[in-house]
Amino acid sequence: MRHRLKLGDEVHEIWLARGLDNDLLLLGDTWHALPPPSDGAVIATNGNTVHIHAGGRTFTVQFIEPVSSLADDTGASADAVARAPMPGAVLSVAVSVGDKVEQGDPLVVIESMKMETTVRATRDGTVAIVHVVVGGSFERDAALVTLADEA
Amino acid sequence: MSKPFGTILVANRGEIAVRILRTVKSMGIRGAIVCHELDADSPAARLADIVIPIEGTPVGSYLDGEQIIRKARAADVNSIHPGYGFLSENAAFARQVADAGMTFIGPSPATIELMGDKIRARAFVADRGFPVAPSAIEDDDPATFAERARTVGAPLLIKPSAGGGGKGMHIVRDLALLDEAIARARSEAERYFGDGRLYAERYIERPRHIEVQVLGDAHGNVIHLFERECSLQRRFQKIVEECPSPALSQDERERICETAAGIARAAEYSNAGTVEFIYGEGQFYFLEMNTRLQVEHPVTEEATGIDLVAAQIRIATGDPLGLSQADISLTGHAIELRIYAEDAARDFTPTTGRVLAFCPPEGVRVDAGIRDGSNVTAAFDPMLAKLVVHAGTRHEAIDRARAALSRFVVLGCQTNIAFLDRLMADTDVANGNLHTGLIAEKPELLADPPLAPQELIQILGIAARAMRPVTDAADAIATMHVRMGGWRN
Repeated sequence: MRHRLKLGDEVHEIWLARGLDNDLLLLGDTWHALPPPSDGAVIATNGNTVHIHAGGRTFTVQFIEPVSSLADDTGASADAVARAPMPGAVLSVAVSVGDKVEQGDPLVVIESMKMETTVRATRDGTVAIVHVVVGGSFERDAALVTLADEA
Repeated sequence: MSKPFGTILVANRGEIAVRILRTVKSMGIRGAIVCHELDADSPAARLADIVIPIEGTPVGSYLDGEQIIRKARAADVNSIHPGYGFLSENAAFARQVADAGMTFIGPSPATIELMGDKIRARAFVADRGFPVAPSAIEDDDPATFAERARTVGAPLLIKPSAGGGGKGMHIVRDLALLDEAIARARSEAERYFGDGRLYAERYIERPRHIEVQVLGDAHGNVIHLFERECSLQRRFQKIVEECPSPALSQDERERICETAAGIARAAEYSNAGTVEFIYGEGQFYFLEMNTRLQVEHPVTEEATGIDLVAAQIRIATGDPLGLSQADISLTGHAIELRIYAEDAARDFTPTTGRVLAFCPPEGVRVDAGIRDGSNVTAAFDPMLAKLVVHAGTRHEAIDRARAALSRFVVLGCQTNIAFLDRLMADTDVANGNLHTGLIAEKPELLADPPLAPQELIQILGIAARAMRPVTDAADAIATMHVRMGGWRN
């Protein structure tokens, strides 16, 4: 079993080993000798996440716990949850629990970056959960409305 | 010399509060700051001599003029500097500050009113013979607004008359979509400015944004401090500004700067202000006048050597400018790059997070409103800091900017730093071929380029060695190998 590290949107399976002169990184089917820890990089860790500044760029690498990689925070299928495309605040909520909606129907109007954006249903369904209230704020990718999975 | 202020309150937050407090303190004046609890540990709060807590929602507290004035009086404040945004262009606030016996550091309430209403400002400027773009103004006859806008012709820019900062602005290239754009602009204008009135003006394709810094005093003296070019924008908001503009010939520079000074003179302008122009194909049109210190004022300071905040304070005490036009000259080239908490690849949406490491480069000017441990939230504007470089030539300034960007470390909250570096490396930017749509026309600049295989190994290696479960597993296996070696012998 290898460790799973997420960099950007990609998950890489790696293994680290101690060599005599260098640390070794297994990536794919190949072992690579790692250079000595470079003094040019700045790193900061926060829980399972390592933030790296190297070569003028910034990277965020997340260690994926072996069990959590299977779970989803709502338990619903991905297209059943309308998520926030960006952090912001809720201007209005167009639906209530139990409402039937069709693909493209407005669910929530959010305000972010001084603009209003309408979050719409990506498929037909019945509203199961409204996660937000008018005036409330949220972070990016927060669940806004969850539709019941179709029978 | 008039009586100097004993205590100046900065009614703002973030980097501009820090920048104003630095000058206030260097002049031997006590610096006070208003502070929402989210900002209690901010660099500005740490720098201020007096911290005045204010209550309410995060943004609402900084907009609460009544509360700020009441608490300022109780703290024996003589004068209020509004910075930019928030209360800076609120004529009623400026008036209330004066009524409370304090000095507002900015132009008179009447001037703010005149220039704050874009329609009145345009009419004022046009009536005095200065150039404005062809337009249709709703207030002239609301019933025929859409029809008159159609007559101006596409492309059109629909704007709130009370607006600013690109909010509620919509470009209409197909007149069939005009009604829809008007409806959307009106809804946004009503929400942001409490005023749904609009105007439409001819949109100049691939325009440059050029603005002129002016200073006026209460004795009728007005000078300009040359121009800034602010054409590099995303979502109608400036992100890179420079002084001087690479677009203008010496003759054009004189004309545009003299026009700006003429407008300020006509308005009997007192204090610091900026006259904004749209420039294209050798023509320039008045856009609006901002009656405050601008975000991008540092490039003017670097290229002219004038401390604009110090000038604002002297003017507010009633002193004459003490500078004539002949005293102002440009040295070299200055560039400001705004560091935002945002994701360029996701259409510049704001990002949030706790700043785990904030290490700005040394040897260049960085005006910052955050520090290690600051929480970047969606509650406030996502601008974190400004990097300001100054060098002998534009080319050298770009080199210096890129070197500084590569050393600018912000960890914990994603920023636009790498995007700014790619922008500075762009050939059109390097050659000064700028226009306000340049960034939108170059989507290839938005996303980080993919990592080369060797870079990927380096980054994963650095991360792996910083992750406890990974290093624990590595150390456990190393031990096992040693034992196996023992068995074989």
